[in-house]
Amino acid sequence: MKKKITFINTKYALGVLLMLLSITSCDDLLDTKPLGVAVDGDLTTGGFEADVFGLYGQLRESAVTDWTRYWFQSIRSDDAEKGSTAADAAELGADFNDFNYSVTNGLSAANWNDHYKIINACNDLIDAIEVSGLTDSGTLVNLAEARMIRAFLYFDLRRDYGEVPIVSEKIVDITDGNKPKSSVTEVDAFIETDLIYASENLPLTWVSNFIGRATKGFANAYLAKLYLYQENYAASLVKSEEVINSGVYTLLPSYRELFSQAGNNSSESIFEVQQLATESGQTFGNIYYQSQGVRGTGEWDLGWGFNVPTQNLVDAYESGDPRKDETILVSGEDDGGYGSGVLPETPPLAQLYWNKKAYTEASLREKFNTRFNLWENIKIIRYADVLLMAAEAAFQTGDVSSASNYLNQVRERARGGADVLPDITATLDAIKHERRIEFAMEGERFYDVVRWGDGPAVLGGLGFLPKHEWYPIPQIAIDQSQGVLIQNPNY
Amino acid sequence: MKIKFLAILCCYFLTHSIWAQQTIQGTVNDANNVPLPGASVIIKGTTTGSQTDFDGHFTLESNINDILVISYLGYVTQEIPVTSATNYTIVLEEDLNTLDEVVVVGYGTAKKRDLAGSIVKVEGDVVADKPNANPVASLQGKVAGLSVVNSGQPGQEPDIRIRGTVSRNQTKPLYVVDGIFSTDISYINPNDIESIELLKDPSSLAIFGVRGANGVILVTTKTAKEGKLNVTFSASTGVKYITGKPDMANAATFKTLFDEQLANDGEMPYDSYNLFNGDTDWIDQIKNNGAVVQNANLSIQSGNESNKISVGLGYLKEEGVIKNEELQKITININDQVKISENLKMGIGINAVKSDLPNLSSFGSAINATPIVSPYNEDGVYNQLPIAIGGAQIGNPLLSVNEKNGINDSYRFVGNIFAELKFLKDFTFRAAYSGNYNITKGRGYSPLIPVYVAESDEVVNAFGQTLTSVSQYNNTKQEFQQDYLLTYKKDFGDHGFTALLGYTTFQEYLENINGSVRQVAGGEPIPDDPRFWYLNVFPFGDQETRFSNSDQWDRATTSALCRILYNYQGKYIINGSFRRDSSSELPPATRAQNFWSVGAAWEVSKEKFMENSFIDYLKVKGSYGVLGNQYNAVNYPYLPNFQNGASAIFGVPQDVIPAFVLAYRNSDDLKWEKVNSYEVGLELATFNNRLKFDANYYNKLTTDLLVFVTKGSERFYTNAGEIENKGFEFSTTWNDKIGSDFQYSISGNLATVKNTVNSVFESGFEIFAGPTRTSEGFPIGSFYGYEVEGLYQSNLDIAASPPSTLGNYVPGDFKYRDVNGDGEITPDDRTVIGNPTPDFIYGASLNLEYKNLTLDIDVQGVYGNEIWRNWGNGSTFSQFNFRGARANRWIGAGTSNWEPRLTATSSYNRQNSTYNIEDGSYVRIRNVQLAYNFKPMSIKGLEFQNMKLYINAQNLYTWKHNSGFTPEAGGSPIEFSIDNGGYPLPVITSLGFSATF
Repeated sequence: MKKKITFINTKYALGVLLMLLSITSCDDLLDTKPLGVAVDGDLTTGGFEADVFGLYGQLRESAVTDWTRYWFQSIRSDDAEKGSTAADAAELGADFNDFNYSVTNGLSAANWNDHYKIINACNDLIDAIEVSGLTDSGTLVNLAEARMIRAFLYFDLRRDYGEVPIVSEKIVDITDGNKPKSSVTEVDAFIETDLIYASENLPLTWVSNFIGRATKGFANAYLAKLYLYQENYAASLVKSEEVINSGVYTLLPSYRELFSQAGNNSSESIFEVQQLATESGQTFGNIYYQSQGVRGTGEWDLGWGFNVPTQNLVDAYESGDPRKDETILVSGEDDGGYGSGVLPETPPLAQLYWNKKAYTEASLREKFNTRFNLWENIKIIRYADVLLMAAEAAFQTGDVSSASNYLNQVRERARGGADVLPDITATLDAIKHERRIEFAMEGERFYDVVRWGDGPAVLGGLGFLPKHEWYPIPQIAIDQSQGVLIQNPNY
Repeated sequence: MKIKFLAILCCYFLTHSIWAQQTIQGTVNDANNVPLPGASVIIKGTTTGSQTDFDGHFTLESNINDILVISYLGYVTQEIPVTSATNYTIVLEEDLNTLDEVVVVGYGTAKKRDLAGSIVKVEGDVVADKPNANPVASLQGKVAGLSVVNSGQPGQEPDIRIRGTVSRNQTKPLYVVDGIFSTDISYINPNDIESIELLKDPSSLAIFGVRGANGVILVTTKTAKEGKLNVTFSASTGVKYITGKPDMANAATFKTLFDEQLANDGEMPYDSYNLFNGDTDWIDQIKNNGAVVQNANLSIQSGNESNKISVGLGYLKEEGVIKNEELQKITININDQVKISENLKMGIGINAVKSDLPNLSSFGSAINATPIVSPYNEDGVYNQLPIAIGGAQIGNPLLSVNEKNGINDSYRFVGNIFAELKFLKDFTFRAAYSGNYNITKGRGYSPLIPVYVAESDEVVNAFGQTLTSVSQYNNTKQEFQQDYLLTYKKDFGDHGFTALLGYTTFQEYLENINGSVRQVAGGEPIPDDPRFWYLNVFPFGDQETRFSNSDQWDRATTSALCRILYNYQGKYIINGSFRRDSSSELPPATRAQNFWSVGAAWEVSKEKFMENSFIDYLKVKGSYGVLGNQYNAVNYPYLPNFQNGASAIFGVPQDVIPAFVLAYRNSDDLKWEKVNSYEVGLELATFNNRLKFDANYYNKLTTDLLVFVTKGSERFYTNAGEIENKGFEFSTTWNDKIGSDFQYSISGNLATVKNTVNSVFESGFEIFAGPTRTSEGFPIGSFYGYEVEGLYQSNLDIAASPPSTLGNYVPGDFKYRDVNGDGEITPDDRTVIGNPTPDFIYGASLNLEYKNLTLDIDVQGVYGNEIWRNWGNGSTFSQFNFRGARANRWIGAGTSNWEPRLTATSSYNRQNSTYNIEDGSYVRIRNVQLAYNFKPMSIKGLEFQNMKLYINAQNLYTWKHNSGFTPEAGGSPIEFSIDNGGYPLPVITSLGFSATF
């Protein structure tokens, strides 16, 4: 009797257990992938276009356009200095403000790595397009965008480091990316080829929902700039006039509006890195402006307070130039209608001057619930630059009348109807002055001074020596190249 | 309480009938004449038997010349012949030789004697009466090779490493609670624990395959014994006190140093001291001395032949040593096992926990805030710190402590069910299912806090905040595990054989939903009342600003496993195990990995030639195996996500356009890290089992290191690199009695570890994390920087020293050593300046029992590691308070050769260097406990089996060398032993009581 019960129970229990066992099949369990986010192979649409969009996103999310940009481009010039408090980032100040360039500087490593990271992304895309064999116009535009962005990145590297390695192919094996340096001439030729391709294949304009993508104007403006750096003035003039005569661009009447959210993608915009903040708290912005905000407390804690105007710049303005008030924000004075009234004095604020081009309207700070400027686009190149390049190129080719014309277009917008900044006849000094003032705190000055050969004269007092034209290649890049990369001269 | 499982099971399997002749009765006592309830009394060779009742009493029918076998776990089994006498008093000697003990192993239990590995068993009472919410915290110093770095914060998990740091990703052991895999056991009430087993060696761990590399901690919760009802109540209350408070400058010192620094830097003197004339010790302001930790536990166990139920109920309330930190926890634990028939058993277990999580703070801002500010102004408004001295960077430390507005709680429900069937005599089949459902949710409020700005004599909102906002989140974690285990156990004469075959799966799913909303601009603020802290807060919330987000992932592992335990005459032992794991997080081609081990042991003391030796027990053993380290923090490392952050913005008006950018490069051949591990050791007992000694040598070589490579612009995961951990472990115990009233034991353990990174990715590849560098040929996470030789005393000194390329320097700055001797101080002179891993860790215990009094003293320590002092160093972006030691700074030739001059404009002295290295060695009196054990008694009809009153002091005293709160500083596998100064490990003095009736 007892045995029988046991037997029945055994059978019953085994049956139940085997049934449970059969519920689960192990292969299904393992068939999982990341949830809520696409990985390789999940996207059937989009193709090259979506990859291209990623290039634009990465420009914003990298050292290419974050605060690294102005340490290299602005703080090295006579217009700007480190800012913040004396102790804050003192070492970076010594590096960039006082020309104690360092091979171990972290910003320089980030600058180098992030440029090459996006260059590699461009290379991957260019390779994919070539492998696909597609030649429809949409694909070719994507290819042109990738080559445009690659050229832009190489131009940055060339200005900062001079001789740099050209990585132009997709990296399959990690050693593929380990290339020796090329000469500046070779780098320029590489950039030029990309820009010419981009100029031939990019559209003049984009439909409204895609405004902000690279255009023919961007390519031509960069060609004009490249030729200017090469002192090939005739070619530079051709390219800048091509932009001018394209009919796409006009100067925005208000210089002030340029440097606000309202100035994003204005009629003067040739290329900007797009930033966006939404009321729901989403932000797509890097620290480029945030790190330049007024460094105070409470409602005046608008940022970290770096990249501030020098007295030298403040003194350089022609009397009554309205651009001065739109570029220089002064401690202890009224903010000029931005809605926050009078700034605290110095001290407690550590700086007398702040970069007003990074300053924001109080209403927008409240709207986006952040005191930090994460919504203003970062200007890469604007129409005024093309006009002044045309002026310089025309002047250098002997066409003073055209030069004066272009120069005075910029001055006319600047005076905004006031009785200041009269029209003048172009001279080289006048053009240099106009470039300095028009683009103050925007990152053109250091490179302009260097290419004009004015480095020692203008920056010598700050510690500039001829070798400082090129920043040393980051030590980590040299170490990782295992001897392939050679340090720049005199470092 | 002890288990008498085997004895009971024996009863059921033998079917002799009973033939009564005489009734005998008796009492079973221990050596102190304390009755032993639940002892088993069986007539040898039969199933006839009985259990002692609460008074240790038994009654039995037997024949003269029958042999009574009296057994009780933990005591030496006695055999007594039945004579004509009808009353017997039996005294069981405590079994000091616990080598016969049964230990829990992966997927089963085994006699420790039959195993070739090193399993250490810790009884539940060790963790039950300690004031630690997380039971693992109480294991510190108890087990050789187990490194526990405790955190003083309520509810925080200690940093646990077993036998070194095997990975740069993950070092946490696997926890297995009653067979259920878990990554954390903070949810377990220490009072519900029957025992904890630690598995350290390859032979024990290979059965856990890809989860085994970091060691396994097995927790067994209480189950009822057959017998009468047991009710245990325990409670304790403790208070916490801070020790080791770091020395920071007071207001006078601060002013002196700050003035001097400004002068050194050529800056204007600070002109607002008239506004700031406080002298505040911010640590004292925010600390909560006398913080209380309380717990109360009720445990009920009831068992009969067919049903055994155990119920545990616990309540814990723990305050932190900073104001307004409070953890509350209610735990419920239920185990029930039903014997359905002779061969079928089923059971369920339920563990439910409700926690009110603390809003944790740290002393960080209290260390950094300048003392010259009073906490409040005359009107009782919080003072803002001076604008030039951290005003925007450091809030008034009281703000974050007093104005914390968050409600966070967690509900965890773990349920399991199993069935176990015995069939064909020697087979057992077990199926078990368990589910874990864990919700952590919370709501937060960001208030407008008025602060007084002395410089402008106005009250403004702290941090420039103008709008209130609320946030809400809900985090759900689900786990499901199923085990199917077939065991075959049979002895063939001299051959003992146990085989296990199993299949198991583990699935995890996580879902986090969170959101936030702001008040309508210009509208009424959201009230500072939890009633309003919801996303849908009407009419305060601005719908336009409502933002929501989610995170989610799932993953699964399926595994097949087998194990064979074989012994010949109990003398020669061979263990083998194998497990094949397939992980959904690996690429399909490489997702299955095999892990295995073999072990062998020889019980030398069973040999003839040892018969008359003074050695009671000697076993030599060794094992080798390959274990895996499934990395849980990264999901699908082979599959990079497309990144939302890289989305493009285009258009007028601007809008987000998704872009397809992969986070890094795909890798289609990734595997989990492998640890090739071996161990050799011996176990020895001598002097009549009074002295026991264990020694092991272990070696763990991690290969296929999972590395995230960032080389220039390239980023990807790959398997490359090796880490080696090796060392010795010793543990010993001496047990003895002096007279009949005094009993004592002394035990100690010590483990060495030598960690070396053999390679990382490729030659020259280095992983930097904070001040550490992980690179070929050095210990993992080594501190890396310059060696400070002293300070430049004069310009002459500078001229006579090698020139430095690290920046501008003047007398009073650090003189870094020219390590490579090239005549220049350059970045190449950086070198390894400290090892975060101790050379050895150790613990010792003394236990004294005199009559009813017990005194336990536990000591624990580490030796030979360095600590990185990461607090009080000021900052490059703001003026912080100075460490007290800065009062001895260099102020001219000969004034100091260690504390550099004061400057804020030069970063020359801020390079990572030996200046920040402190000695991490320490010895701590971890616990002192004095207890009084009452004899069984009856109070007003309530019969107490035992009752204990105790006073316990934890962390009573620490001999340390570092200047921070505590020498214990955990961290990540490659960045640990870093003292952020944030939180002390307090002294906790508690008074406790427990009674079983």
